[in-house]
Amino acid sequence: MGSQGNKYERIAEQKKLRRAWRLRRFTFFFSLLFRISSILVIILVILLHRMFIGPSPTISRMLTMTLTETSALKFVPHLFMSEDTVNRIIDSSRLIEPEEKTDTSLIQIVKYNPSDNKSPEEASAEQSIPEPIKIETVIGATYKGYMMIVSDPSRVFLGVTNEYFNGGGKRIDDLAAKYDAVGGINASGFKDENGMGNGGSPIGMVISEGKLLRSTSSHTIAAFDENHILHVGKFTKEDVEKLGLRDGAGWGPALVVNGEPAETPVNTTGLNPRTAIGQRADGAVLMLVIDGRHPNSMGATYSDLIEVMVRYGAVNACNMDGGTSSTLLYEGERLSHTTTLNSCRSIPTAFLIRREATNSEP
Amino acid sequence: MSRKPITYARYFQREKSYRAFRGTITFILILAGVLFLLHAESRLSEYEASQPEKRIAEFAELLKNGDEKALAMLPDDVLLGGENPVTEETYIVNRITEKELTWHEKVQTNPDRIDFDLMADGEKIALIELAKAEKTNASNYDQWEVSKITASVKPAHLASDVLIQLSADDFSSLIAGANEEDFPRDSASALENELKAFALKKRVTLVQLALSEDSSLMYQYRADDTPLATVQIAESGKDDGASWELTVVSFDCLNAASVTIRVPASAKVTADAETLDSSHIVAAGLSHDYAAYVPEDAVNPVDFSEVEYRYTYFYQAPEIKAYAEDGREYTLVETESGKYTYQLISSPELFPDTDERILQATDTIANFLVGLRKLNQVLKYVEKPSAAYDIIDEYDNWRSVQAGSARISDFTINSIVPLGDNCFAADIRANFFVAYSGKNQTEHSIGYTFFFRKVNNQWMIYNLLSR
Repeated sequence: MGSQGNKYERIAEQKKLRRAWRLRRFTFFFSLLFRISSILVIILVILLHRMFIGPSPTISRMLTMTLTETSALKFVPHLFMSEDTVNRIIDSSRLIEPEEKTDTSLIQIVKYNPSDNKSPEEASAEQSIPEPIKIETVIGATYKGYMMIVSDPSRVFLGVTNEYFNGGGKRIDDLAAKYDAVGGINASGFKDENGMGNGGSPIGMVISEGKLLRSTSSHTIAAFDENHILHVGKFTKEDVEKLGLRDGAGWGPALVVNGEPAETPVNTTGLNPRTAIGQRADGAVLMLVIDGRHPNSMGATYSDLIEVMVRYGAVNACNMDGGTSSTLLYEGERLSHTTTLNSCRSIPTAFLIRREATNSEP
Repeated sequence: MSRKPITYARYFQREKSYRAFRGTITFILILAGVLFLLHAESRLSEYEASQPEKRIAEFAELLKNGDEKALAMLPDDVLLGGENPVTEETYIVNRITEKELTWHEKVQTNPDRIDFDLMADGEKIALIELAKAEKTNASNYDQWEVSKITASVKPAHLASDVLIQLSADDFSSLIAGANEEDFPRDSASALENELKAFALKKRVTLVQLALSEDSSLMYQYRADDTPLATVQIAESGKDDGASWELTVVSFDCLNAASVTIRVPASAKVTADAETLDSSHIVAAGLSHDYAAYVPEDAVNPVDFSEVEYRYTYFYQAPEIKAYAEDGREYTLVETESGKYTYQLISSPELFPDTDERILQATDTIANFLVGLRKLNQVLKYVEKPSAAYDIIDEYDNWRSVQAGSARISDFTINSIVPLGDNCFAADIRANFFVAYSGKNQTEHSIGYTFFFRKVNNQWMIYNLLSR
């Protein structure tokens, strides 16, 4: 009887010890996990501190500008630097935009002679004329992107969600589908507080298919006139009528005006996804989208955009909304890699490409 | 298959092993983190050091200070103004002294090259090209070296470069050449000060004249409103604005000044329409009309078609008068050897305004001596405050040593010596009254020479000498 009792006691003790060990193992696992996470967080904080206030002012400026250009992470530099320092960096990174008006005589639009009833693509195959739409990969030290060259500027126009911008924005593929467009790039910036905007309310002037939909002249705009020449600069409502602007969106800054690149600041801007539109002397429209915020392509600065645009022969060029909005669409496929988790963002406007040229003679 | 029975000993053994495992992982992570942060720190420093802007900043700083390192960094084929003969590094150095240097990167189309505009006070003075140097094992980042410099030589720059060389030294060389032994010593230093002040007051300006018949640009140098010389600058064929040449220099011999102008060998130099050429250089130092200067490093015999030479042209000296204690009048004249000396002109009895000077000086000296115990009261009578500090220090030291109260009780002006229209010296003798702490009282006799200058129609003390 006594040995039987000892056996039960041993079994009970075994059960107790096993239960205690399971619990102990569980706490060990979480304590280890907590230690690893804490160490990683401390390392990250020290690393960020050294990047903001460390031996490299260049890195500090670049990181500050990269983060302040975002909607959701612009608070981070303020954790490590004073308000004054952040503002000083932002001020010193501002691009000095050329103030002159667009000289339309610098653009001589080359006309094609497509055979009757043939699309530009078919005509291009028959004649030794540039491809109507050509897409090239653009690679730099910190970025990878796409340049879409549209040889006929009359095909480029501004697509909008609706005339009153009520409701949210649309994804670029929805905008392209609405207008049956071949492709396009995002255009206007929009109200996006804390990165939670619905992309419905554009900032700056908006002109679509000859109608002035938003007349705010606060931002630099890129707009095509009735002769399909791209104007870049700040325009009033009166200027829009005087110059006969048909399609345009506001954001900026101006990158190249009349062949003169904007003066880049000593301090660089941040590395971010970017979108820009420009026009060559032969009238071809340059649509540039740079990927960013992922390991293959961190992003580009304004200086990088200017360099690419100048290299492609832009006479006039303007920066458009960047960051998560940057998207290039061609034949229903998004070539650029967006930085959002759930496909691309909703936007209010996009520069789109018609399937065929308009009949209006430049 | 039954599980192994667990005992307290095994329980604690396991717990010990887990603790050791956790501690090891934590230690490794901390160690890896520290190493990572140290590595990141060095990479950040390295990245900063490799920035092209950093290179330009260092270079500009050295260049600005005229540091030999910066000049040595200039490559042999450095171009300053294309084919323009102004090819000395000093051209840029001259242009940036005392100016704020800034630079901005130009749009790059070649990944192996970066161009910067270098600006002094916002004015573009040079284009500096950086080329990618070969990567070294010491750095993970690209290294950049200054590969070429092209100065922005615009016509006005070239002309103003000549202007830079005109300085107060040129004017005061008149004084340096004067033979003081020929002039009463007491008055010489005061006169010298006055002459320097006169020279410094001249504002040399550069005025662009109309285009000449052959479309070259003409500039005139003026000391205040007096024309000194006219220079002509012509374009030498290129249309990038970077190849202008100083071709003609015409001195205006009638006006008083000394002008040094460095000109290219090919330039035509005239003095009162007489062309100066290499034969004049051979005679350098012999002619009393002008002296030409050949650089010391010029080859011998000098090939005048190659060297760039510098003309120093002495015009007639300005009419400078000096007055001795007894009222004799002197003037500065040039000797045959090209030096200057003072020559007696006349011995007038008295100066008409002497009485007025004595009155004003008495007033000023009295106020100065009364206010001596308070620096701010004294300084308003003194043009050059540093001169007043000596006497104040002397007064304070003396008073503190005696450990009593002291004041200047009375004074007399022994003599007034006019040293020109705007300058005179006054000898004073004063009684220094001291009340020692031990109640003893005594008076000391002290003497000073005050030098006065007229500033805004007011006689101010310019200097003091203790006797």
